[in-house]
Amino acid sequence: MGKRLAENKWEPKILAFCCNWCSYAGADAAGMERRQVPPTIRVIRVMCSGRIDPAFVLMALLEGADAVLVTGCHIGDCHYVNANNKTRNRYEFLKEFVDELGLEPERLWLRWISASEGFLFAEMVREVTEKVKEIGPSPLRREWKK
Amino acid sequence: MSRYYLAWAKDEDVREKGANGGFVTATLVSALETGFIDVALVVKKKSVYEGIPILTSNPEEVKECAGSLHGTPINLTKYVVDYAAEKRVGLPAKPCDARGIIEQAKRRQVNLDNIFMIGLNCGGTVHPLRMREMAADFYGLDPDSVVKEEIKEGKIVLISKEDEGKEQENWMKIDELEQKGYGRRDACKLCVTKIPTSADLACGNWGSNDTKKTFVEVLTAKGEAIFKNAMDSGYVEIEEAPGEGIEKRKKVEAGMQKLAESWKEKLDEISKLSRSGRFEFYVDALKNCIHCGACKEVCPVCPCEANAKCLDMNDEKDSYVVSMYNMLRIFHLMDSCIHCGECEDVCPVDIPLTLIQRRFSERMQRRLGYTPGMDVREKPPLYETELRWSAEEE
Amino acid sequence: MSGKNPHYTRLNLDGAQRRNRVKEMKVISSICPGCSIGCGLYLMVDREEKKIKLLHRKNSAVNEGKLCTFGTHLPAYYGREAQKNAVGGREVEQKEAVKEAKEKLKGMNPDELAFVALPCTITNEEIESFASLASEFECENISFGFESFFRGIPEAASYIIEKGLPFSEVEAASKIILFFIDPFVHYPLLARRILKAKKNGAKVIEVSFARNERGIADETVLVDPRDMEVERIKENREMFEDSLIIGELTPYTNPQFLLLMLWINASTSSKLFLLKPFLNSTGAFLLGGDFYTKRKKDLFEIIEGIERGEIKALYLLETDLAGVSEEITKTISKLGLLIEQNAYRTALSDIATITLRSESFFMKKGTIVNIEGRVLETGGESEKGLRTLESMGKGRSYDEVHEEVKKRLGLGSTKISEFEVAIKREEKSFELAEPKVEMEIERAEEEGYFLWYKTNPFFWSSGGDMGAIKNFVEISPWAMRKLGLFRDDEVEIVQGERKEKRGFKISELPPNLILAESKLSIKPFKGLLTGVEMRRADIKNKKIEKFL
Repeated sequence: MGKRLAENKWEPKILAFCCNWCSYAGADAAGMERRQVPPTIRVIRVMCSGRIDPAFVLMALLEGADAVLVTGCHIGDCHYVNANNKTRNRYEFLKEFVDELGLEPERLWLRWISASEGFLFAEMVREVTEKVKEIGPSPLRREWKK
Repeated sequence: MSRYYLAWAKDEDVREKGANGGFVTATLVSALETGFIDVALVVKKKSVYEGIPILTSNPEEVKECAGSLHGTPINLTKYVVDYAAEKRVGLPAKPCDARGIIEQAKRRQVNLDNIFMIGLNCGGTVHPLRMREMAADFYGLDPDSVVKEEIKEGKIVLISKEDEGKEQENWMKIDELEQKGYGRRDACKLCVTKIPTSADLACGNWGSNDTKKTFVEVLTAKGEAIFKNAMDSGYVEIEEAPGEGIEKRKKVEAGMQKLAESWKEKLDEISKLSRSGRFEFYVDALKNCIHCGACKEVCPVCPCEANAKCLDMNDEKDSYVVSMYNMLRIFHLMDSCIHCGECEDVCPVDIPLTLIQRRFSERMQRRLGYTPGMDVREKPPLYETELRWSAEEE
Repeated sequence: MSGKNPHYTRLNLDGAQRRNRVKEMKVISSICPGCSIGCGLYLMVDREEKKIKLLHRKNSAVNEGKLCTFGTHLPAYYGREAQKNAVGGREVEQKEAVKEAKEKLKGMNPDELAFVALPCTITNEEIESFASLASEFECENISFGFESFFRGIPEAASYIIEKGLPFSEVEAASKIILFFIDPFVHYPLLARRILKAKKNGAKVIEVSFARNERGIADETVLVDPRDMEVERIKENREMFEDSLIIGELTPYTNPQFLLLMLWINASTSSKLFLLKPFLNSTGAFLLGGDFYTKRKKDLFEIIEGIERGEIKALYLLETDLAGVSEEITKTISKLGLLIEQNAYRTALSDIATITLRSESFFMKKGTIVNIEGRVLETGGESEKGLRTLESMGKGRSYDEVHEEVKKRLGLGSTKISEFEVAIKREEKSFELAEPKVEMEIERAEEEGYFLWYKTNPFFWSSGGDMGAIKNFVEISPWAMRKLGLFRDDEVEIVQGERKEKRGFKISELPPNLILAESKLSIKPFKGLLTGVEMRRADIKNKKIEKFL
C-alpha cells in the first residue's frame, strides 16, 4: 500500500505541468545531462501550456500540492503560435486568486523553459523546493489522523 | 449621441401611478401597442414585499406594473435569457439587470439587437423581510398594512392603508436604518453603478425638477428608436432637460458612490485580516456550503447549464478543504462578477458571497481597468489572448 | 453605440435551447415537500404544466426564498412519470376507476382493510378527508406513519411528537443540543437558524457518533457506536439543562430512543424540538384522528398484517412506499386489493389493482402545517385529489372540508398568513420513569462496521434523478487503509445475503462508522445504527488486478 513517512518528516510535493515541445523536453534534458533535481517534483506532460486549464491548478492545490509549476515555451516560441500567451493571462488570474485566498505566493510559479534549457529546469525545481521548504506544507493539505 | 430630456406619460393614470411621471411604463406600453416589441418583461406587484416577473404582450398588464418597487430585489437577466432570447423584448432594467444582459450578450446567450432596456437609475433595493421588520420595529406599522413605499431624498417612506393620501409621511433616513443594520441589501450598499449606462435609456427622478416628469438620458440608437416610437404614437410628451438637471444627477450619483465607498470600509472585514487570517476566513465561510447550486442558477453572468465546469469537475466524494465548485465559481467570476448579490440572497447557509466574490473580482477588474457589463464589445479578459492592463498598472 | 454589431449578432441558440424553456409563465407560490420545514418558493409552469422552472421567493417567512439541494431539484421531482387512472392495469377514465375503487372498498371487511398516507405531499384537507373516509368504512387501520410512538408515553408528552417550535426560538436559544442531528444534512434550512443563534452568542453542543465536519458545534459529545453509551448520556444530564434539544422523529426511529429523549427533556429544564421528514407531519398529527387513545396499527404493523394475510386490502394515498423501504414493496404484492392514489407512478403502480391519478402537490389547493406551526397555503387551484377522496366518502366540497380543518386547528375566522405561527405549542410538564434503554444493534462480526443513515429530503424520495444524488457512503481513514482502497475504487456493503456497491468519501469518523445519505439494499432497521460488513469491491479492470 506504499510506505508512509515518519510523522515529523514532510517532503514537499510539487506538481509541474510541462508542455511537450519545450519545457518537458527541457526536463528530459535535465535528466540526460545528469543534473541534480530534487525528488519533490512530479511532472504532468501536456501538449501545450495553453492546455493547462486554471481548474487543473486549483485542483492540484486542493489535492494538497505544496506548489504548482506552470511551464511552457518562451513567449513567441509556442509550437501552437500563441497559446502560451493565454497561459500567461490565466496565470495572472491564478496569481491574484491564490493571493486573495491567503496562500503564499510561492505556491504558484510560471516559468518558460526551452528544450535546451535543462539547467534552468533543474534550477527552477531546486529554487521552488527550497522556497517551499521554508513556507511549509500547504494549508490545503488534508492529512488524515491515525 | 447622449441627449437629455424630461418626459412623462400622456395618459393621466399611468402618469399618476408611475414613480416619476410614468415614462418607463408609457414607453413599454406604446412599444407593445405598436408592435415595436413582441413582449415586455415587467415585475408585477403583489405587495410591497413581493414582485413577480411576468412576460406579457398585453399592454394593460404592463400598465398595472407602473410604479417602483424597492422591496422586491430581483435580477431580470436570467428571465430574458430563458424566456425572451428569440423575441423582441422590452424591460425596465436596473443597472445590474442591464449589466447582466450585456454579459450574457457577450457570451452569445441573447441577441442584444432584440432587447430594449429602459434603464432605471437605482439607489438600491431592500430585502422584503427586512422591509417588513423595519415597518414593524421602526415605523410602528403592521407590515401587511403597508401599501406603498418610496425612496426619496435619502429617506424610505412607508405608506399604510390608513395613511394613504395624508400629508404627514412616515419616513426614516436610510442612513439611520443602515446604521442599525437595516436598509438596503449589502450588495446595493456597495454598488457604484447607479446609472444604467449599459442600457438603451437611463430614467429616473435624479435631475428632474418635477415629480411627474422623468429625467431621461438617451444612450443608444435603439434607445432613441423606442423613445421616438413612444413619442410618435402619442404616449409620451417631452421637453428639453434643464442644464442643472444634468449636474444635479451627477451630484446625486457622486454622493451615492461616496456612500458606497464608506460602506466598503465598514463591511469589508477581510481587509483587516492577515494573509493566513484571510485563508481561515474563506475556508470557514465556504465549509458550510451544501452544494445546492442555487448561486450558479441565479447568477446573471453564468451562461452555463448542467455542463458547467464547476459542476463537472466537482465531486462530492472529494474531501477538499474548499470544493472545486466554489473554487471555480470564484475563479470564473474574477473578471465578470457584476456584484449584484443575488448569490448571497439565495444561499441557504448564508455564506457571505457578496463579500467573497467582491474581494476576488475587484482586484483583477481594477488592475485591468475592466468593468463587466458596460460594453458588449469588450471581451471578458479571461477569454483574451493578451491582457490589457489599466493605465495605473502599466 | 448599438445597432448592427458584427461580432455579437450571431445568436448561439444551442445554449438557449438547452434551457428549460417555458412558453407562458404562470407563477405559483408553492411549498417544497422535501421535509417538514416547508420552504416557500415560486414555480413557473407552462400551460400543459409539464415544464417547470424554479424561482426563489425572497419574502417567504419560513426560508427567505432559500432552498436546499432538494428544493433546487424540484423541477426534476415534478418531472417524474405521471400516474395513470387504471383498473387491473387497463387505463380507464378517472370516474370509472373511482367507482371501481369505491365498490371494492365497500365489499371489504373493515378489519381486513387498511389506509396508509405518509404526510409528504398531502394537504390538511386531504388528511381530514382520508381519515373520515376510513371511518366511513368503519376501518380502524389507518396510519400516517407515527402511531406507535404515542404508545408508552404519557399523554402530557404527546405535544412534543405533535408539534415543533418556531425558528425564532432556535435563534433566541442560549444553548442548543443537536441530538444525533447534522443540520446541514438532515434539515439544511435549519442550519442557518443555528448559525444565527451562534451569532447571538448561543453555545451549540452536539451528541453524535462523529464530529460534524462543518464544525457547527462548539462541543461534541462523542457516543461510541459500539455500545450506544446510553448510560453515559443519562449520567451527563446537566449538559441538557436550560437548552433547546433538537432531534428527529422518523418512521425508523427506535421507540426506545424517543423515550430517552423524552426522559432527558422531562428530567431537565429543557425544550425538545423534534423535526420530521414529511412536510405535513404536523397536519397529520392534528387532523389524522385520535392518535393517542384509540390507535390502531402503525405503518409497520399494517405491513406485518399484510404479511400474515390478515390485511387483504390497502388504500395508499400519496405515498411512495419504496421511498420508505424497498422491502415493503415485496410484501405489498401479497395484497388482494391495492388502491394507489398519487401523482407519480411508483414501484407499486404496476401491480396495483386500481391506480387513481391525483394532481402534483404544487397544483393542489389547500393548506399544510409546517414544523413551526405555521399554516401555509399550498398555492394551487386543483381540488382533484380531495374530490376523489370525498366522492368515496362524505361527498363534501372543498370549502366544507376546509372549514372543518380550520375548526379543528382552532383557526377561527383569522385569515391564514404565513407570517403568523398559528399553531402554538404549550409546554407541559410530564413525568417519565428513567427508561431502561436497551438498543441492541445487530452487530455483524467483531470486525464489522456500523452503518448510520443520515436521513435527509432525498432519502425519502425515490425515482427520477433523485437517487443519483448522495449515492456514496462516508468511511473513516482507518477503513480506507484497512481495505486498501484507491481513489477510483468502490466499496461493497454487505449484510448477510444482500450487498451493494457504492463510491466512497473519506471523513474524520470513528474507525467502524459508515455514513450513508441514501438507502442501501440491506434489511431496513429501526434505530440509528445497524451492523454491516464492508469490503473493497471487485475492481472493474481485471487486467491490472494481478499487479495489485
